[in-house]
Amino acid sequence: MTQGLTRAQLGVTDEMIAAYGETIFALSNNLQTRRGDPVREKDFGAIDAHRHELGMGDTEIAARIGLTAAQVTLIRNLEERRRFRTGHYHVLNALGGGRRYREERFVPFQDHFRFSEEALSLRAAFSLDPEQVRAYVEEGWWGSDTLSGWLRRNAREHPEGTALVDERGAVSNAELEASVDSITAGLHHAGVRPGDVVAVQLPNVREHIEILLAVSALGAVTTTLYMSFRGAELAAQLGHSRARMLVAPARIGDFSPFEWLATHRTELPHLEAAVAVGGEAAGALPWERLAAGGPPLPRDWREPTAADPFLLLYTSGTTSNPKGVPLNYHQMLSNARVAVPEHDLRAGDVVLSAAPFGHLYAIYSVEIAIAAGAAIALLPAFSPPALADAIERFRPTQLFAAPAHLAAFLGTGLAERTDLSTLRLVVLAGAAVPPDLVRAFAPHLPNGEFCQLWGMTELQAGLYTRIGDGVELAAGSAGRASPGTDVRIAGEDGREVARGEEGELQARGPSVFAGYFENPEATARAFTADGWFRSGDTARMDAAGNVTLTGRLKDVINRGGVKYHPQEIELLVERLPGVLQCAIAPIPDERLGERACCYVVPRPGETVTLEAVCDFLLGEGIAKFKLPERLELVEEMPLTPTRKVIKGRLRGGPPP
Amino acid sequence: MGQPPEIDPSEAKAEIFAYARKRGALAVGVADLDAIERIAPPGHRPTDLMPRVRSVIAIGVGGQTQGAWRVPAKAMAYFGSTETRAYSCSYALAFFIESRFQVPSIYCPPDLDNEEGPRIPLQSLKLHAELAGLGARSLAGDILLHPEYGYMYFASVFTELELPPDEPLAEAMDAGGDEARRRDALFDPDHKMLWYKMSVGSGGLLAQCFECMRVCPIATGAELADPIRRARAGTRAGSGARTGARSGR
Repeated sequence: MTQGLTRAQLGVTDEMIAAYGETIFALSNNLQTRRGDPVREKDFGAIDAHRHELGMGDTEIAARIGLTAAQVTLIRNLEERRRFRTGHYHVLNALGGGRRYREERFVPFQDHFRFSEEALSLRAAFSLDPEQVRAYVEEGWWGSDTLSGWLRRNAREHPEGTALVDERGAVSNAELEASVDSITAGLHHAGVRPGDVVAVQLPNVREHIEILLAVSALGAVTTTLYMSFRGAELAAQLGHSRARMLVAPARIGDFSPFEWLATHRTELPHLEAAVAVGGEAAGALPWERLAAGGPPLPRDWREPTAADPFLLLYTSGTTSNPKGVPLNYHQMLSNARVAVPEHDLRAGDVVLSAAPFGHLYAIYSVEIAIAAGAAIALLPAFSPPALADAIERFRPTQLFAAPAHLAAFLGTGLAERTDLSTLRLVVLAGAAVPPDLVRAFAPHLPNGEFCQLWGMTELQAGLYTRIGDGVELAAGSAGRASPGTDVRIAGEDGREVARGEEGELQARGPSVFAGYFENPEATARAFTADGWFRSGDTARMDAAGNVTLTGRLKDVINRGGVKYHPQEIELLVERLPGVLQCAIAPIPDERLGERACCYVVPRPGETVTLEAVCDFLLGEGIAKFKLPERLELVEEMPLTPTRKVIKGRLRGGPPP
Repeated sequence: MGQPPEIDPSEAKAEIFAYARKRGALAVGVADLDAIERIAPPGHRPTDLMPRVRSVIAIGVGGQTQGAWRVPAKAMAYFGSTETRAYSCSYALAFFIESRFQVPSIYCPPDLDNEEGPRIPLQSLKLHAELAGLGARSLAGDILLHPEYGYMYFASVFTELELPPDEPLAEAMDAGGDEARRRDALFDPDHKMLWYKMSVGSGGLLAQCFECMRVCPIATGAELADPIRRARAGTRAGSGARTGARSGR
């Protein structure tokens, strides 16, 4: 018996195996050819004559050829493995209950698919707390939900139901499943394997939904790239995510992702394939060929499971370099599933997102639409007229938008001229929601309500107001924690503060990510010692549990030791008629350390003065120490792709 | 400790067989100890394990129920039956002999001899069973074939009680096929089966689809292999004089 000893411990070399293997096999081979049943007939002569056919034990062989018994055991096992396909008992195990053996179904265990090193490193990023996992499973938050599973359920139960609608027409659940299956086979044929990352840089078009679902159905992982990303940003995310494939438009304005890729391919060793949507591009597979499918998936292929990685998203990075956030189906879809009744979604509804699918907020709208069996209406690129047209054409029941979308829509006067009667819910998220925006838009919704939602890439939807909360609550608060999520407001000492006091918003629950991809330092900073995710947002919670966001933790003005968050002031300044957008950032001051500088994008033809801003703020009851002490007029703010102001570029003076 | 003079070997054998049947044995037999000693290699003879052994009792139990063969779950052909029941029966039988006759007995362990390597059993239970008349060896693993009981799994008890031995089964039990074809089927590497290992219970390499056993003409045709048919015929396993080896009763 080798008793777990290694070859090195036993002193067995490849040369020894080659030299002795044949002899050991021959001596050990117990043939038992059952010639004439000599045992039953007590034919001792015949038994003795065939005794050599019984083979020898390892100890006997060892004594015969001058090895140790353990060495013989090891060499004999290796020799038998080489000669016979041992492990056939796996055939039996693979059958399970109720099935009969079918050769065409069976794949020898040694021939089964193996995850790549890159895929395994991404899977390793899901370092989950075992106690939390047990609680999420036992309490029913985590189950077997997958995106492709939901699609198949919809196709099975409502094959004719509308899954997608765009300017090309409607796509039924059955049609979408068929096209996704074909693209899934096409992805596999193109070399994408379960666990591989597929980078998608597409607007809100049909192909974006199809590739998201097909990547998911294959068991691969999607990383979305913002449409505004160019060279350095593309290289950073494609490289960090180790994307195997890029799916992008043949051209984005005057930029060709594939021409750029042709000159940067050597910097992206993992990127093996590219797919061009909406035209041909050198070095890229046309989308049509991918969509045409490929050979059937291999026999050992399996549908993804809920614990498999689903998305690898990158934080928008208002304060630092983007960080990769790996998310699995458990985390994302448990959050989406429970949101369906909370957002009053029903089968047959139509969900429209003005936000780009590159952002988790828009992917969330896709998830809940598929969860509910609702249709996804597609608005490829936001503009106020395009939104008005999409609302009138697709008759959405739920609209997901950022405050900037609604502000622009209102600003053009389209709200008055558009039939918004089909909207039952307008969800606002992605940036601080100006209360006056909600109040101004509400009268245009004869049958609808507002929902203010707070979420992050790290946890999807963490807070939202509920149906029936009313305009004022939705205008001034992000509502209560989503089902399953715990939130608390923590002070600087890390302890929960009293209701009404300001502190950092922290969350934990089944949708909270496990850690940043290969960034243990950022992960360590992101969680408290007792496992709460530190959002970096500051907030207050009222007695009923409604949370009002007040700013970013790092977005603080420290005026001579007196600290305050400027978001409240920014929202007030944006109420001034001449102000299109406002951001307040600190500027250095020799005496006080910092003073507040108010950056303003004025409306066309308007001008804004510091005196007018201060008078207005004083009139609103703002304390004098919060008044800005300098005002800079700028043409535009430095923005993240998700339309958040990058205050780091404002600090210290006017933006370039 | 010798055999108490008041014990009649034939009566003791009848009591032992009756007890084994009560515990679930289909067939019981006593092997010729001298023949085992002559055939088994040194170190694996009954006297190597129990120096004062006088009798080797082999018991056989039936395989799967008819229900297990008929349900589509292949696992039912393997789990919850087979050798384990034979072992529990022989374990109980060893205690019975000691308590009834005050003679030392052991349940013969089916385990492998670790000192000899992973393929050598302490004792060949199949050799005991063959010599005790429980059947003829099958090529389909650790079973013996019997014209009345179909196929059986087997186990052994060693005792210092002297019992009259039975004779091996007279006829060969051949399910058909010529020697060359069987040999090809069993040892051709393309068939990827290491059947030869199964007779010594190497365990991990055991692999089969059980189809051969489900349709085995000997097992399906045997009068007492099917408990349902047995009940309908008004018979009972091991009833009457069916004490095991046909030639030994």
